[in-house]
Amino acid sequence: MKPRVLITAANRGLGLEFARAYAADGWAVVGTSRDTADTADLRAAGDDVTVLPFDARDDESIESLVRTVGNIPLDVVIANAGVGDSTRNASEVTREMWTEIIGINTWAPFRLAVALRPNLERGTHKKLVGISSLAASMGSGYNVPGGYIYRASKTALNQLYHTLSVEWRPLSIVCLVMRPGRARTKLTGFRGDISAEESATGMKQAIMNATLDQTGSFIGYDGQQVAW
Amino acid sequence: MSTVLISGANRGIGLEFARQYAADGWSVIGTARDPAAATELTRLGTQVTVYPLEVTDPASIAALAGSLAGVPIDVLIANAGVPGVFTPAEDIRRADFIEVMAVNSFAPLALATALRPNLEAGTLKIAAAVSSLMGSIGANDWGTQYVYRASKSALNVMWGSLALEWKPLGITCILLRPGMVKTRMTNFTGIEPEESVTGTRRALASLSFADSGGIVGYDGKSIPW
Repeated sequence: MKPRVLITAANRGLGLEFARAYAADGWAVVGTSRDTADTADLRAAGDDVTVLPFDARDDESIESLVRTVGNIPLDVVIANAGVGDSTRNASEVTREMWTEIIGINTWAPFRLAVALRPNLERGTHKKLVGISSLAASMGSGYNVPGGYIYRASKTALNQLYHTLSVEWRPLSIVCLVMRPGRARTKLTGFRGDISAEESATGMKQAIMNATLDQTGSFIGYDGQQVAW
Repeated sequence: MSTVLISGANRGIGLEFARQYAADGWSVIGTARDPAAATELTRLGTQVTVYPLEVTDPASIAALAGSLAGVPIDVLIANAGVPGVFTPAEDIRRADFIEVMAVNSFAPLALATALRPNLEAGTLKIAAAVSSLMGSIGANDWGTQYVYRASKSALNVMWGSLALEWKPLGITCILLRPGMVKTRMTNFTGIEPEESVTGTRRALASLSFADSGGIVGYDGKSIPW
């Protein structure tokens, strides 16, 4: 049986490039999209692509996705859906923006991972991947000002996936958070150093290479470890 | 005379901070959700003033900042926090998560931002927030307490951003690691609040501006991010 990957927000950007890269390797792809009218590129990504609706803001949508997936094995789950944050300074951070972005970037990937654990256990590769960011790193000397909520959301995601890695090690599930690099996607306003394809194919390689010894780590699209 | 503002000063570590700073002759501004019930804080003496503050309510923060307009604050200690649920990952719900992230991560940033003019008017210019070993990802090899951990990791990275933003203002932004202390949050296990706060105040007293963006422990030891 061919391996299967589930990718959230696979209709564009990094998610779409992940879908294309896995499909090109002969994998079955389950790709989600918030806007089911905007999935032509995803549907064309390969010959075994299933498109499902998923809105990270909505708990019922998360649970609905989990029910639809049912008990099929998932080899790799990539929680890719995320939003940026335009705050330039601390005084621009509002409670409403905070709740919205933390819900999408942190809560949803956590809840989805936990709810899909039985599917990962049935898979062969058993890899859970969260898409993080260098902005989540405190130890790498990252010094771009602003983006408070985005940074917080991704650092919290790192902590949650790392905690999952500790608790899921006996299940042989490899949990990773990835630094995609500054890829040209909607989130970066298409200003980046690398293409979305280069970022996704680099991350896919790093995911393939990761063993249980690397569970709980923060890895870049270039395969390098990132400081917490 | 120096002034310290401590959120959540009605019990636990916050109350002990208030007690020690007051005993040292500082002017202490303590906040509590319900000042009328903060009898231990009020009893500390005349140099202690108590203000109501619900840390997750922007209107409450704005009201506090309004009451304190023009008052220099040397040290802010954003201490108020909640432990969150201890349930297995499967049983955590969005509301549990969002609430703890609001109290432990969003609120300290909102409080510091609202009191920035007071800190700028102070002499010591220290914005401190109470973090935890549980916020460390690198030291986390035992799992548990997902929500609390995530909230403190988020606080850590935002305090780093704040240090960057406030560098031109000369404000030192520092994270505090008080240790495992006998408080309501820990079900009264760990070291005495007095030991924790004595050590943490010592760390605060020896801070330099170059420490901004870092984390200091009550025991003088450093921990990984």
